[in-house]
Amino acid sequence: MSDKVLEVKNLKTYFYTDKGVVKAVDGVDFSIEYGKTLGIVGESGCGKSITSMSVLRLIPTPPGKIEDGEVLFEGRDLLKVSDKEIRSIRGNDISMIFQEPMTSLNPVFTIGDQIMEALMLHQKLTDEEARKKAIEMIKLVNIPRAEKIVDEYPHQLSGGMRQRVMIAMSLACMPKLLIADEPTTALDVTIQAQVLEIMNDLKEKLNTAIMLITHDLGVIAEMADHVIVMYCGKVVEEAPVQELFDNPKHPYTMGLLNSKPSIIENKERLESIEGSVPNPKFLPKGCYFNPRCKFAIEKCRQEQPTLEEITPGHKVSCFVACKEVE
Amino acid sequence: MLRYIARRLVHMIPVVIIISICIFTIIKITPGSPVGLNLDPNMTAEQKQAEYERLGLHLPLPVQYANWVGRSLRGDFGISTLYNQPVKDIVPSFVWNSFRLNVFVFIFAFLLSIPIGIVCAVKQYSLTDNFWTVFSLFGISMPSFFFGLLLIFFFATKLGWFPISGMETAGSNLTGIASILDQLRHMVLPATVLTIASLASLVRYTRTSMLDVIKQDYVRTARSKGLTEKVVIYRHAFRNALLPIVTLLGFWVPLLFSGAVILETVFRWPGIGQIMLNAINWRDYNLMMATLLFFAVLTLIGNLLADIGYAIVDPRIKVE
Amino acid sequence: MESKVMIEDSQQQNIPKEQSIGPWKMVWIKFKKKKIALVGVFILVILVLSSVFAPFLTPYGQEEMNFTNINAAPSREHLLGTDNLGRDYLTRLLYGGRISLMVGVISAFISVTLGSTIGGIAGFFGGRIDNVLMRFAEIVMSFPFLPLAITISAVVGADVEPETKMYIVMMIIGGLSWPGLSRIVRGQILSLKEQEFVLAAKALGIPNYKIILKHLIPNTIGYIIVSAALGMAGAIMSESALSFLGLGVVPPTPTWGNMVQNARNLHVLRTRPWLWIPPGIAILAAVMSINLIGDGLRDAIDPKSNN
Repeated sequence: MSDKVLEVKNLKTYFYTDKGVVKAVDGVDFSIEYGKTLGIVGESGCGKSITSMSVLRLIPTPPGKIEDGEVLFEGRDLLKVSDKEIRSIRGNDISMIFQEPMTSLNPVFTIGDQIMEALMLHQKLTDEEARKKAIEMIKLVNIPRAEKIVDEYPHQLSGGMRQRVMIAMSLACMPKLLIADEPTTALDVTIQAQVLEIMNDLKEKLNTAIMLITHDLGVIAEMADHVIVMYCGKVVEEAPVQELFDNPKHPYTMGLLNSKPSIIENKERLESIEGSVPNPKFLPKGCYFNPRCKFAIEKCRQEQPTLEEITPGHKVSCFVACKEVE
Repeated sequence: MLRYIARRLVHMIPVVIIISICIFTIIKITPGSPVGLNLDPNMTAEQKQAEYERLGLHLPLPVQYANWVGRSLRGDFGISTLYNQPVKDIVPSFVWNSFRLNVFVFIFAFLLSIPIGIVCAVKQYSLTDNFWTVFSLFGISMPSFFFGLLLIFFFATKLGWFPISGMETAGSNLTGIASILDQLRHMVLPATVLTIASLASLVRYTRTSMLDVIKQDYVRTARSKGLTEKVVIYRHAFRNALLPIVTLLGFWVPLLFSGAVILETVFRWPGIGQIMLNAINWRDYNLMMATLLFFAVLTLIGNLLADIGYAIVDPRIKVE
Repeated sequence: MESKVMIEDSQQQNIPKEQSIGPWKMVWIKFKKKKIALVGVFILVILVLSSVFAPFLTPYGQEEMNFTNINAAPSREHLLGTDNLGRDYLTRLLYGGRISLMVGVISAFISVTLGSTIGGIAGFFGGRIDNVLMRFAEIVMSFPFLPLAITISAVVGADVEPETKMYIVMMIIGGLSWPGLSRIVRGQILSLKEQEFVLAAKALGIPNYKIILKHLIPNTIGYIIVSAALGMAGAIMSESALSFLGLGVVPPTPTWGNMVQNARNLHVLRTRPWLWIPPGIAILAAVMSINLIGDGLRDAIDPKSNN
């Protein structure tokens, strides 16, 4: 048996709008090993969230549609299983945490109800067992007074607390994979660190693999084992986390890394990547990054590069970077 | 919860006082002396004066108001000059007639509109949704009196399926089931008009609030837990869409009753709306005041019910 | 150097078209896409034009009576027949449209002016002013509309000229239907006041009136316009109901509502449907077209609505 819990191959998710087709995810490949964390980075609108939603088939259809590809979860293609099967996987084998803790919990149900729901559905626990387990989960995410919190409503908790509840909820059934879509973006920095710590902690304890989506490289550095960088619906670079930070190859990755403040280097000015993410309806010809790329050559404006492995485990989709290596 | 209700009630007191002053003022500024119309024209000036004093009309206005309030609180709304009976004896039977009509409408409209509204929202732009959208548009744009007349024209005068108007066949002495059936037959057309009008706006309302809710993040969360679409829609989404609907429920009761004013006229249904119009046309002041007060109190009760309902379904409302 | 040029080029070509268009143009573009709303515009335009140009569309005068030809059935000369005074009914219908539509417009105007002013003041100044105004709105709302309108109309408009009565009806409808809008506007202003751009403007010391003009009004005007449209539909409906009951605009001034009143006579209802069905349909068409326009506008203005 392979050591990969999830393997995504050539995933394509398109949105059909009045004004044309948006290729939000356009041929993405990656895989996640058991108990490891894969970080997915990119600016907003690059298709990170759509990728994660596609894995659980949560894309609103219409207008969205998963056009092609395979999502192999323990060898089973989730894009081909029945609705009933995917439901038995959602929340049980693979669960999700969303960006907005303030709005992701249902305001009219108690915290306990919302945690218990998945337990009773998937694990067939009785009301009492589920409640006990819910309290246990709340304790696990370091929320004090768990016995009381279990009967409270989301509006009685702060944002950080709610995100912990979300984590407790998603981990209640001990999933093999946790998809975390910008789990800390909406939180204060100090709270961010706490939440990340809890996630790391639980990953160890429960041996859950994590697919972590973020635009924050600091979070990646802290959490991820392996990273993929996305741009305009495509993977532009993929590497183990240390390798990526030490030795970025794609100009976009370099740009992202340079735009992070660093105390050690004490740069005069933060660099930014010139220009902005192109409108997905009007993508440039050739490499999508070429208009913003300092190193772009003629070939970049004509052809689209593909993801090539340049050193073991390090893949990049850039003509310039690949040539350099040769 | 009791404290919450008590607080809402206290909050209502000034509103009730101001409303009663308004009603009193409206009636007082009505041209024509309140007794003039109903007095024997052959009375002497002294007799008229005596009548005035007997009715307390020579007293200053604030005193008159206080007297009226005092009597009203004791359930004494005076004598209806039109019906020659104490107001408190006639109003309940007419209210009961209106109630009978409205209760059917209320139940039908709510039972039907909520599932329809949900289906329309879930299958937005489907054939079902489009049908009900057009239906709603017609329903809210159709003047109820015109719709009532059309139904009378086609189903009563042309086809003769239903009686033209009234609440029961005049002069008939039906008893038991036959009498009930007769009354039901009279009820069909007015109830249809009211139900369709109610359905139209309720479906629209439910659909809109459901559409709002199914876009929310927590609905996505519910799906990501592996819940079936049914549970996601009817448990997670609908519980939230219910919040505005509950508020509407409270407003609906008074709206139904006051809308019935027109319809009761069209169908000559002897309800509260009919006697209100009669009271106005015949300048029956005591009856006018009582019916207005009835509508105002009904609205306030509706608002109170809406508040209470909201507090029950929405945990975010601080009851304490 | 070359790469820089490329950036500019591509940026220009990448600017999404929406961004270069002003908000009102955007509303119009979105509105135009709603075919059904355009149908509403079409119907309303026909109704308005036909009542405005009534004198050119019919050879008869509004009050022109012909006692030799009363209660006539529809014919070539009188497309909708004549009434009990021998007046051409189609003429009455066209002139009636003037009154019905005008009452609708003016009532809606009164209601919108009151509602947005009161709501705006309450929301902007807050505190005691807000408290008093909103309690006032609550009280007006606590009266069921129709019974109160009927009573006031009966009381105030008992012995007045038909023309005066028409204005009274407008004021009653407008004066009783503003609280809903005032609450919405107040809520809008309250939430806008907390938004960063208003706080920023305040922090910069920009005077109140400028904040109101530049930030608050433009951001609430959409709601007000939609509410004006829907309020007009409601006002036409209310006027027709009052007039139908004989407590609104009274004959000889024709309105669609008091024309339907003919049907309260069972004989007319049964045998002369042309006397009450056409005005009824006119009311339906007017209210429906305005509702369509209102809905279309709301979808076009409301940033929350997708499509």
